[in-house]
Amino acid sequence: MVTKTNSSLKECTPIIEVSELDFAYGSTQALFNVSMDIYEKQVTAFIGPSGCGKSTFLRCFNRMNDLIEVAHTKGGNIKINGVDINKPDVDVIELRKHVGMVFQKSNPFPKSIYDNIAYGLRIQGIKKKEILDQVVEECLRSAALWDEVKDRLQESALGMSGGQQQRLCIARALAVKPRILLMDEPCSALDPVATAKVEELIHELKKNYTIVIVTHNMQQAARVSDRTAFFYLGKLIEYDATDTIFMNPNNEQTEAYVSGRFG
Amino acid sequence: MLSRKKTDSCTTSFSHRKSILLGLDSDSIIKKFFGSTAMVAILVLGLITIFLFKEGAGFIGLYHKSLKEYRLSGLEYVDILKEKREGYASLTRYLNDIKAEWINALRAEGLTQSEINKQVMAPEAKAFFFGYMRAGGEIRSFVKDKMDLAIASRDQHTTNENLRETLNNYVAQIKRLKESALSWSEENRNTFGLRLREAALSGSIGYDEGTDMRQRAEEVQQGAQLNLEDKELFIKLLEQEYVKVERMIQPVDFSITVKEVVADQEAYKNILIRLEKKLNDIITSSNAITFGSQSITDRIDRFKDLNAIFFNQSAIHLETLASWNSTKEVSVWHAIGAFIRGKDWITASDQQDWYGLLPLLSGSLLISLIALFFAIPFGIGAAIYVNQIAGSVERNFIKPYIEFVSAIPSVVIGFFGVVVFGEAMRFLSQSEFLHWVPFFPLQERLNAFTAGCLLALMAIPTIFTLAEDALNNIPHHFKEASFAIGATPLQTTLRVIIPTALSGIISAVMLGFGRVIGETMVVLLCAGNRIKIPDFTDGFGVFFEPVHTMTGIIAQEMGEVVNGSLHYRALFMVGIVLFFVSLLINYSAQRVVKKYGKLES
Repeated sequence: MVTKTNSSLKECTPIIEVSELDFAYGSTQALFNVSMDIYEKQVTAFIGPSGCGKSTFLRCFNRMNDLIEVAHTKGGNIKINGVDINKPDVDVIELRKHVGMVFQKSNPFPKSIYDNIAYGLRIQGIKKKEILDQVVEECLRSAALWDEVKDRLQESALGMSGGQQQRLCIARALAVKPRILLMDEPCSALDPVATAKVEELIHELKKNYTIVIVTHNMQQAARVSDRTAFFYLGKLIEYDATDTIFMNPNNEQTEAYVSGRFG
Repeated sequence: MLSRKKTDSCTTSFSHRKSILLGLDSDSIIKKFFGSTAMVAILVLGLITIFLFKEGAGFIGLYHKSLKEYRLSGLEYVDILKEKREGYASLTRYLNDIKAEWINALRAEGLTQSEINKQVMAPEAKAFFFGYMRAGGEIRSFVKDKMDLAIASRDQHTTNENLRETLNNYVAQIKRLKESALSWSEENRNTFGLRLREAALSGSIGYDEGTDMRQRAEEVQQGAQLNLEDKELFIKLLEQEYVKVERMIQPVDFSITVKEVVADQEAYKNILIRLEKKLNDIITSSNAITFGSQSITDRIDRFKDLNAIFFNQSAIHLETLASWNSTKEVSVWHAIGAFIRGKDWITASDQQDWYGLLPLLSGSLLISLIALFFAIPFGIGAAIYVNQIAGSVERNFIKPYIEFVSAIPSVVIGFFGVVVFGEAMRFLSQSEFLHWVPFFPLQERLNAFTAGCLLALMAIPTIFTLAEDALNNIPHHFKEASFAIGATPLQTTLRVIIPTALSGIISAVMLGFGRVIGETMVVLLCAGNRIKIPDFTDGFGVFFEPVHTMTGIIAQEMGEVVNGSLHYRALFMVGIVLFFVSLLINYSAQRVVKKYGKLES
């Protein structure tokens, strides 16, 4: 059922390797036997109808599901850089520094723009102002936000527009220098102009980061991703190069979904 | 089928809903009901506030009058005199303390009672200690004479006022009687009966026809028809009574009595000079006594200094007396100031009643401070633990448990404070191994600290519940965002959750403060109820002094004051102050939430 690669994409090293993952909330199983590799410095999109488990799957990569008491992995494993992240000796704090995340709803802290980005460094004990200043500027530039906010760094982040807030959250995630960036429907609350800006940003970030993005918007998946995985009812139906998924899917369900016949 | 028919009929005309009562349909009845309950609540609260202010408002006028009389009658002058006398008296007390200390020191050296007596009762020591005390007879009697004069005139004045009021009552009664018909009220019938009996005893007045008054009184009280003669006699009796009371009024001219009080300033000056000389002689002669230990000699030296200071101030004292003037205007502001800045709360005094807010306000604030000192860390700490750290099992246990504490009646907590906590504190303070604590052992079992600790117990649930709510209201995504960057749970709590919830936490503390300052039963039972401004120079010892509070004094004294008296109105004034303090606290809590509580973008 699962086709892994396609000739049209250049072969890269896998950075996340998932094999036979079963995941459940209490007695309700959310993911069934999911196996896939995610490749370095590519954009991988997860698509599928609501409740298909794509967000759950994404949140397994930085173990955000730990916050939910009843959630647990039933079987299989996830390796990042070859390390099984569910092993008891894995420091989840270190993992999350390595695997950053941007959420569906922009969620800047009720602090200044500067403090929002410096937060990630401060919690690591970095206090030197020069370093903080430098990283804040770097991250804001990476998130294409510097020119818009450089004169009001000390103002509250809550005064920014929605699109700016979401890009600030991306900048904040970049501050701790992750290698992987998880994005859980980052544009679902944004207008088309702001969405375009974020998508542009994703293109830029691809040069330095591995990005995994969950999206409801199939055009967006087609626009930004190199590979696309289609999920349905907790199962990975098809995973292939984005072009293949949208132009010439192997699976009937995938075909039906991308052509808009259901979902 | 029926409903179908109904809708059919409605489709053509969008008729008004069917009325149930007085032309109102069900919706507007419900609306009216809730509206009226809200109105009633507001109305009742408004009436309470109006009542509070109405009863309190008269205070300033009455207090102003009282203070005016205080000055006119010369009592103020006497109080200045008394200050000097008190200064001398406290010096004698100080000397007595030294003597007691000396005896203790001697005992500690291992001397027997007779040996101690030999030293302490030696002629030169006796001359010193007793001589110092006895030297002041002259000043004491001088002050007492002046005081008696002033008090007598003030008392007569007060009596006169009461008598005048009685006279006014008689006038009104006679007037009413003359105008009324023959059918009398039950009250008048009884009064008349009594007066008849009294008149029969004195025999000075009677019926023209010579009716037996005692017999008539019997008849009247048993319901006999009252006639014109009765009425005439009643009026005559009342008029007689009026004259009698009028004769009792002995007009007081304050200006004359005050002259007497203020006189003899030269003689007083001489008394002071003589006293100074006498005391100095006594002190000089005390140099012959050997006290043995250094610490007592030091205290004697200190005593000598104090004595010198006391007489150095004589000149100023005399000047104050000379410049005192009974006719100087007492302004209304003076009365208000005497209430707000007043250091004494003395009621039912034979000289002058004082209604000063400071001892009560400072007591209330001191206790609140102690209560919040304990309640804030415990309340907020528990809230953070329950909300952020504890698992669901712990949460489900701790939260209802803390909230349960607020269900304990305050009188039970107060009772516990008196019987268990106060006793335990005293017992602990007396134990040997805690003697290094500076203010131990405790003098009083019931003090500000006892009350504060128990109030903390009552404030914790308030602070806990509100702070927990504030933490709970923090959107979950702040926590997620922080975790996703690699923050530990502790860092998330300290750097994101608490700063975000700070406004809610501050308002929780404010409302806890409001709860504490308005609490009555616990402070009444446990605070010790001594009306005195706590001695803040005493360092930490101040927390262990018995104090009285604004709420406590109202609860304690309201039951026994004369309705409408100065004292009664003073208590209402305290109530008004309390009202404003609570209002201020609640208002600022709301402001904090409004200003900093905007979390969502």
